[in-house]
Amino acid sequence: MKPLRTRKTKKTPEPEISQPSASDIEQKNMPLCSSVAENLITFQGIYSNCADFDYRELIIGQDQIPVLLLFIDGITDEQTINQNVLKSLMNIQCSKLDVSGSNSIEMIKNVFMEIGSIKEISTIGEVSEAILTGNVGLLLEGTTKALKIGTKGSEGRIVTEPVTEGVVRGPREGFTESLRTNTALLRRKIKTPSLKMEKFVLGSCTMTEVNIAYLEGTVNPKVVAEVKKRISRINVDSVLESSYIEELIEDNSFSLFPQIEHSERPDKIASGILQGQVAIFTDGTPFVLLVPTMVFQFLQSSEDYYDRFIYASSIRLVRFIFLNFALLLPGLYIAITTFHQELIPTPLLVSITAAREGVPFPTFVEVLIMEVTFEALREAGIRLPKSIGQAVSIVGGLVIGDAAVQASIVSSVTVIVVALTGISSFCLPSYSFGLGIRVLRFSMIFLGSTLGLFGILLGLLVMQAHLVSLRSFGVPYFAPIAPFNLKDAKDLVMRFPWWAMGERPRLFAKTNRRRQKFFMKPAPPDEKKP
Amino acid sequence: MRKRALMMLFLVPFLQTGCWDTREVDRLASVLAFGIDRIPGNEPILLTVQIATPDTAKGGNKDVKAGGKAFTVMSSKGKTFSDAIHNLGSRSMRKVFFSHSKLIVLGKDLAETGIGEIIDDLKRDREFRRIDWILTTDMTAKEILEHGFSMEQIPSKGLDQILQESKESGLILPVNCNDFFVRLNGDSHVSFTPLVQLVDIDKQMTSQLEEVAGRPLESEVKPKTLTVAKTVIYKNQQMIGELNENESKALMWLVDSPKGGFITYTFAPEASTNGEKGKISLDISDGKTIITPQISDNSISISIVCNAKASIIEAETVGIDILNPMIVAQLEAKAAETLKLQLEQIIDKAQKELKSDCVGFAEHLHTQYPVAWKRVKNNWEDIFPTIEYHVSCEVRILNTGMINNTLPTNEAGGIN
Amino acid sequence: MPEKGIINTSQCIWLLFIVIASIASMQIPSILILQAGRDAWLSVLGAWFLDVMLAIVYAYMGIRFPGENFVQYSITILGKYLGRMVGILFPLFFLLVCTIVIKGLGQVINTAFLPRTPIDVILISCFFVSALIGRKGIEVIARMTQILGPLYFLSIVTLCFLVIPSAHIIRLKPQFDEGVAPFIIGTPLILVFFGVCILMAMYIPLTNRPENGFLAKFSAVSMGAIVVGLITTFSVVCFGIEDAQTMYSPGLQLSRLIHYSNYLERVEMLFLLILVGSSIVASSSLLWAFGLGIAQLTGLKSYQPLIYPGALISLVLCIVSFPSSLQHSNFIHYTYPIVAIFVQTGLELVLFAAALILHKRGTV
Repeated sequence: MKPLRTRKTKKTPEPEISQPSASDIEQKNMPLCSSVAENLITFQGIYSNCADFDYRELIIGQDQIPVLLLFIDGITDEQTINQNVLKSLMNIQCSKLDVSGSNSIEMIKNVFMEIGSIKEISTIGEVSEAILTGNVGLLLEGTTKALKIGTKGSEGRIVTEPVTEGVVRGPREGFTESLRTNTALLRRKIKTPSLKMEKFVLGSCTMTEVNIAYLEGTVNPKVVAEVKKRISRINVDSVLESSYIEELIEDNSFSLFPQIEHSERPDKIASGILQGQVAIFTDGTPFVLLVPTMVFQFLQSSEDYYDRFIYASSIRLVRFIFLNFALLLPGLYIAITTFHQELIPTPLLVSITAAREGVPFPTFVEVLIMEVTFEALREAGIRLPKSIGQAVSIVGGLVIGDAAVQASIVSSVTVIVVALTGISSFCLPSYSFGLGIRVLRFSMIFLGSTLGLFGILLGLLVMQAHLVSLRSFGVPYFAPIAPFNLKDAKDLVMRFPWWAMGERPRLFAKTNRRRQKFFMKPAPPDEKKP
Repeated sequence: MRKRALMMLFLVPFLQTGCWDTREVDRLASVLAFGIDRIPGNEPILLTVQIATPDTAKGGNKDVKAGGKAFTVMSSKGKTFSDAIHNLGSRSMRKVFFSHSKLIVLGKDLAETGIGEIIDDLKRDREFRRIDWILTTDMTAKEILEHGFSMEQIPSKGLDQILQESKESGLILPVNCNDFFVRLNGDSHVSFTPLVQLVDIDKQMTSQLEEVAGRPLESEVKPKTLTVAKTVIYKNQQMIGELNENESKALMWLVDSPKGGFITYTFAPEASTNGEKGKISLDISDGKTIITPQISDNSISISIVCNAKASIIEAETVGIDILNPMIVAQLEAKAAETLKLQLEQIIDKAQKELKSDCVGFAEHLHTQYPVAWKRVKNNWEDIFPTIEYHVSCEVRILNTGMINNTLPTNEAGGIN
Repeated sequence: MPEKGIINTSQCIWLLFIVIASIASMQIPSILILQAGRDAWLSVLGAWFLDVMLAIVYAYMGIRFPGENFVQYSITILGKYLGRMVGILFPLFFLLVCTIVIKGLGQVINTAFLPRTPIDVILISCFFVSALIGRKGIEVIARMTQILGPLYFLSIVTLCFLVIPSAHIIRLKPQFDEGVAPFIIGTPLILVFFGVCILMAMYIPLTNRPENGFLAKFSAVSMGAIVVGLITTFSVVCFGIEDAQTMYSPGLQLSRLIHYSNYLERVEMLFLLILVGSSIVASSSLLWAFGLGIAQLTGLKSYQPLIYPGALISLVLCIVSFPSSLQHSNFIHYTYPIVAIFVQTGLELVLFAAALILHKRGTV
């Protein structure tokens, strides 16, 4: 165990910002100079060797006051700087108002600047932070205050259809890498001031903005407090994707099951928020986290709510069956064919025997070969460009599979089993949940090949005990099956029609559970008449 | 958490050594049926197993290769039944696996000398199942198991289907091990199994046809066929006699409720003047028998009431009016009489000839008069042949098939 | 209280049901049929009634001593030393029951499914898993039973439904063939197996509504009686009493009778899996009760360190005391009923009487 521990904390050069030295902090909190020239030298020192750091000196007003605009090229919106900031500053000359003196900054802010977001700041650190996030820092001669002018440029991707969660029927927009676009997509769906979004900045290097969104009055306040508590204890140098946050706030790190759901679909996040969950938006990634999470959410796709409910219920049932296939099928195949042959119908046993004739490996090895090959093919298919990926899967799946059977390396039944398992694992709407299942499938293979069905049963018991012992932000992970709740089970394997789901899930929304009017089942108008 | 991971690590080698029960399917020889014979010598049990031969053509190709049979037959002998199973291992390349067997065939010699010694193993071993069919043969079990069917590749499957079909059609009552054991343990200690025979029906028929045609037929010679039509009676684990085809059918009425059946009888309507006669065939769709013992002053009598629902499937008697309720009543009465005769015949046989309670009167007496049963229990064998019985049958015709009345074939009306 | 979890009434029902069903449905029906013959199902009914009567005492004691299980209130009633001596009998009894359950389980698996696997391996793996679950606390056990309990109940009902073609009701008659004696003897015999749900006294302080203790036990015992009654009755109507009483596990044999057209046959393994899963969870709750009881007697803060040693003791007992299935059957048949009736009925009634006489009451 010791060597493991030392390897974890390997001696990479410590990033300076993550461990800020005393002088750094001092400089950050240092007030600005009243002289623009001196400030410029300070900032040029801070941003030495930063090719994208840019500044513009100009003189405004009748009193010829020097002004310094600091910004980072590329993350600002050039058009805004040219048309709004510079123009309004130039216009000061024509104005009769006096901008010199102690209230000059306020004057510019309140009277001249034709820009929406503007804020007064006063330390070097603040200015630095302002320009790093895409704003323009405006420094004025003769005052120790500065202005942060919002000119964030959006060089992001446009809103497109989400790649990972496609639907046949349903909205086609997906989140982008820009946090504000994402929150805007959400706000456009939930138009109420109760939708709160609280801001956190995480990562001493990346300064990633993180917003938590929830519906006040519906959400359980304890969960919000817990989310805030867990997020605020994060102290890392970088947050590049929401999975960084996920790993830092989840309940059980060693579990194979994801305890936090993520999605890039605004409708999915909105429906989660509306039933009392908390969403965590992270700048720079289209994947938004949703807490607390119960295991059955990973089996639900947002399209379930857009299709007719009977069809949606049946497709969920299929998904549920195939989840078990994905987890158990190879293990069961080994256990039954090598331990409990009496379970196989006689004609099938004869044909399985015939198919295995001449195969040199035991069934266990056979299945392992095919499973590992399949996982490799899958991995190859994901990483390669789309067009080549298809070729890989055709060559791998059809050609190699067929050739392996022809060459008596594996039996044809094994190929069928592995292929069926592969298909089953694609039935899961959630990719991250499927990863856990894929790993567990191999342990089931081992257990099934050593103790037969009894071994698989033991494995299932341990897995089940683990599942029911998990909690996600205080909510039992395996709810509403264990602990059982009939009302919450309306949206489990069955998807009840909307008029029947009058209440939000009990475990998410503790107090405000009423979602809509009851008894809204539609009926032709005549029936109601006496 | 680290502790738990360590414990899991300990579990892995423990699990990896534990493949004691692993048997690959291609190391197995699945027995589809087995038979037991008694032979002279100090190893008196001869076990014969019918094993499925896997079709070696790959990819589920069902064509059997020329000359290749779908099954193999192996035999071995031993001091006891389980010893014989054990000895089979020295001959079989693969582990002999009994879980898939569907049939047990008992040879004639074994059945006559007593089957007590094999029953214990059949109950105790985990690979034998109580739902296997049990059959007795009047030859050796080996001959039966070596014989194939022309339509079914695997003979045991064919026999299984014959037994299931004949239960449906009321030809014979198939018996599985569980029922066989339970009856043997029952109050009368009498049980029965169907009899499987190898009959050269084809030769018989051919010779009859030749007689009619007056010349040798040009049909090819067909092999003998496996036939299940009779029943063998066991008493105290020993075969004591057999019932013929008609008695086997009637036995069904007494020990089970037949779901199917067939009554054929000659019928002449009472009102008809010209004395027309013809055969009538009824198809029984639902039969039910109620057996009630009655006790009066130390004498026991049994009343047997049969109810059957039937439909006409053949009415040769021309000129009868099936639409007439009176005629139908006559038809029903006549059918009931025929059925009654059949039942009386078998009870007579059981009482007089076999002197064993294969019809299960003891069970009914025990169930309904437990106190009286205790009195007669010990000398039931002597009492049973003297018991009075009364059979009454009722047949109801519900259906006349696709037509109502038969058309006369000539002016005179009637073929005869 | 070393246990912090809270369970609700329905979880309590399933917890008790799993324990009763898994101890009483494996080998017990054949012993019961041996004693009570065709009246076995009546014995089950009688035992159900008696056990419900007993439940009243337990439920009353649970309300009289709120927040205390019997290990604790035996100390409250009988004082520091005598109370501890009496109190320790309950956890030890649970350990004994756990041993019996897992040994019976291992024996069935070994006989019917993994004949060449050493039984020690089966026992070790069963104990490992049940200790793993038991250590996670009552909430996890309760949730497991909430999943397995209904599955168990349904599977037994399905099983009986599927063997109907092999059943002949005439084999159940006549009743009271040998007088009422078999029924009278059979009733206490099965009662001692139903009586294991004195475990309810461990659960009552942990339920969110302790006043529902009686209701929970009533439902659990009723379901348990249905399961045991069904298995016993169907064993009789399928095998007759002569065969059924000689069987090691009639329930297992029943599942071997299933055959539905040509594909649904030889499925006993599936039934057994549900049975085994439930038994493992039941034994984990027994191990948990053992750990909790001992922890309370010795004043430990947590019961968790006691679970694995408890499992180890039980494993050693399994291997040393029952080297073969014969000793196990004999123990269940002859010794266990005496021990059980002493602990389940005798001790509790003594405590009950002492509480009434000494006017002891729990403090809220």
